[in-house]
Amino acid sequence: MSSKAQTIAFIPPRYGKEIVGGAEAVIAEAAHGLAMRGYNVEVLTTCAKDHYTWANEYPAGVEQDGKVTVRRFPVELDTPGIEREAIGGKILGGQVVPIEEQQRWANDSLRCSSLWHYVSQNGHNYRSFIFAPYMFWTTYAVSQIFPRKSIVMPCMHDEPEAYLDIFQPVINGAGGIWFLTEPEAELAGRIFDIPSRNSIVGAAVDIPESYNPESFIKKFSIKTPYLYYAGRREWGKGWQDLVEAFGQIISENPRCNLSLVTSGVGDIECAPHIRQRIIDVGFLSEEDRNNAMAGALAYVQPSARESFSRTVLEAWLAGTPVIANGMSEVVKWHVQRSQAGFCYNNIAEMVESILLLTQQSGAAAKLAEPGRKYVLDNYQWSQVLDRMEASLEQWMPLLKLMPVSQTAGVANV
Amino acid sequence: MVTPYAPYRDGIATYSVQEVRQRQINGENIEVLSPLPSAAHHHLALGGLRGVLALIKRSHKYKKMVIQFYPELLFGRSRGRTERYLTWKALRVLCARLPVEIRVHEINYGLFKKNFIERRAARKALKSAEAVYVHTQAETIELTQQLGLRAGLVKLFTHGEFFNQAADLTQDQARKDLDLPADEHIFLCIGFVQEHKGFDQAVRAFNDLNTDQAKLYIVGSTRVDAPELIQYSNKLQSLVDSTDNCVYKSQYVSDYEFDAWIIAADTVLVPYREIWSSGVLERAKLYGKKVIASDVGGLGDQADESTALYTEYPGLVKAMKLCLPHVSDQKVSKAEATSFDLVEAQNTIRERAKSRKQSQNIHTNSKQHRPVSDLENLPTLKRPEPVSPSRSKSKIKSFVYRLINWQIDPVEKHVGLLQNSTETAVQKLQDRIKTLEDKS
Repeated sequence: MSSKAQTIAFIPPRYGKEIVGGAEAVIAEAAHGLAMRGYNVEVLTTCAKDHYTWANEYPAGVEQDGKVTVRRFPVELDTPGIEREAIGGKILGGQVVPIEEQQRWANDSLRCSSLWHYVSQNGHNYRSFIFAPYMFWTTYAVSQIFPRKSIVMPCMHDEPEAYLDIFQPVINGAGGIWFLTEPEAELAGRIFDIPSRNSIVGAAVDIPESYNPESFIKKFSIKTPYLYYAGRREWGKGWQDLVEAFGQIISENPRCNLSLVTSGVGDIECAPHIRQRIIDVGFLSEEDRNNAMAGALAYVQPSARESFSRTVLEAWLAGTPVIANGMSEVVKWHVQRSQAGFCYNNIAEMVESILLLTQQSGAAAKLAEPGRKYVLDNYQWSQVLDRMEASLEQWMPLLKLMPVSQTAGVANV
Repeated sequence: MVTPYAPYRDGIATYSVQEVRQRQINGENIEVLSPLPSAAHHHLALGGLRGVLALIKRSHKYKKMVIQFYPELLFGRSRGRTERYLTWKALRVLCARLPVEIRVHEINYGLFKKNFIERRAARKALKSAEAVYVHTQAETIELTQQLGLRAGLVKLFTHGEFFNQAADLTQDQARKDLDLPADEHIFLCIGFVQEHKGFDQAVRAFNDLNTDQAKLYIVGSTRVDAPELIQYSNKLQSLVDSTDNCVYKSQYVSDYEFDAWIIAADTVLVPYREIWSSGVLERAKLYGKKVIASDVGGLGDQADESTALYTEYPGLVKAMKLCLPHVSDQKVSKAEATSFDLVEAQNTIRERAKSRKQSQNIHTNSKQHRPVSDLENLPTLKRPEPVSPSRSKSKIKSFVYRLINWQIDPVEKHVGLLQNSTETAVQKLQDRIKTLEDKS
């Protein structure tokens, strides 16, 4: 039997075309990429679409997504989340939380017992499981059933949760670790006793054949220069900082005709005079998003918690400069290496960075110039898949053929 | 099956996960109910009368129920006599509704001795079960006698019946993975750190071995933040610190790492002061490891030919010595080693310490000075634990500790307060300076 015929399974908490999230996008690309290279690839995931409600929106069961088989399992939604909130408060406050409370915190949110039992019973039929991100129950609980077969893509930022004891066995005991960037690997090295089987596989972005920013501008009736933000509009992603900086710019510069265009999900809460300058284009197709990137004055990445920041690379690929939160080690690292953007350390610096680009004609194009080459040199899928394939072959031994009596009946899902 | 369950980490949860997996693979249709949200199919707040009543309410859905019994599961942490009595009664009702198999992992006989009524209720509840299982012959006899059950009701269920190996490694690979010395004899104590597990006795015994060709590793963590557990862990750490070649790895490990440690070890120590039965001993047997265990609870029944049992502390030391074939030679070499030039050694140590200090200063000076970080890094003033590998020294230290406690205690607290206030004050000052800098 060829090594590629033995099934490998990706286990993300959510999977689907409508899912917004960097880790989820990397998982989807890697699954399809490895399937195209001849691997037998499955995705074992939940029926959830929304990472706030975890409501079961996709039907449970088996479906085919191109060459990838997707098995969906329903999420249990039977806890009020009160413990998670209370213990989560302690964790974020930097308090020392005993292991028992950490376990309660981890189990008082998304849980998926049918997925857990499926892996527990059928795991011996799989060559390897690939989990991401580290913090979700699907990784925390399921990766420990067959730890030696588990490759974890932590997608980790420097956040209080990363320091919890319960994640020590998840990372330290994994059969392998795939990091997205060097800063992420360095961070993990400071927190964990990472196994020697680790590799910076990176991630990549698809390279569009062409861009048509005018079609995007026309489609959404955008009449002014704009800043662009794509992703989840939530506190943890720094969205409020962006709104505050944008508000300051338009309040202090009445002649400034800048707009803020945003795609993705999340509420927009701000003063009416700011709100009318924010254009929510909703969930965009890949083509529209690429065109939105190409048409923007600058792409803003306000999140301090990035483990890869795919959108930043997409912006550079589209010839757009990036204004990014310097508190994110990963984005700062990208910006320093590419020299194709500004990093800010506070809102005042963000305001000034944006103003500089609006006030000096040609500054944006000049700043963006080295960005595309940086992406093309470092972040193409063929390189990433080569690294993934090499580590799979090196770390994950081939399955021994089991006698029929020891193999479990494969469940319907 | 009613049981604590993964991803919670404790012996019974791990035990149940393996049993459920094997039974499901065998084609049995099993649903799991755990007392807390987990990977189980259902969860229910047990721990009291209401919990058992809720089990009764669900009983019509199942053909059979297996309860992995330990007192906290059904009675919670602090329940009064009346509620315990009613809970036993409810358990009896449950047993009447459907066949119930009770797998007894622990039971508190002390309560039965104090309370005849509860003993009677417990007896009736267990009598009405389809089967009561324990893991060792000693437990069978004790449970039968203590509760006055009829012979034959309490049956044996091998502890390791469903155990599977979680790690497929050679000893060399395991040692390499765990960064352990390749050619030294390794003694291992592993599991959650609790006083009744007697890891401190293992450290004392290891110290008495007086060997430098072996290492003792204690691997585990405290599961909850209970003061007595923290205190014991600190005491254990002090003891380890004062014992050569002994390492305390305060770690929370996965099942895989747990097994990797057992594979890496030469001898697994189970020096428990009290226990019903031991999962560690079963896992060590699974890998054919030499075990030294105290003869308490059901450990004697669990023991096989690779287990050395002891009853008193000297027996532990003796059994450990026997694991080291050249222990007598080592003693001689250690005795010889004591004749080296102490003054010269002391000077070497001082010189080394000086250069270490200098390099630290350079390191600090080369960086931006961060007083708050320095303060934060300053450890809290803590008196050393009054422990020593030698029992007599421990006693003396404890006596001195208690004798001067009334004077030292307020000083310790006051220094702690001063340290906290200083940190806060410096932090505030830094914030103000930063605000002023930002403004200017």
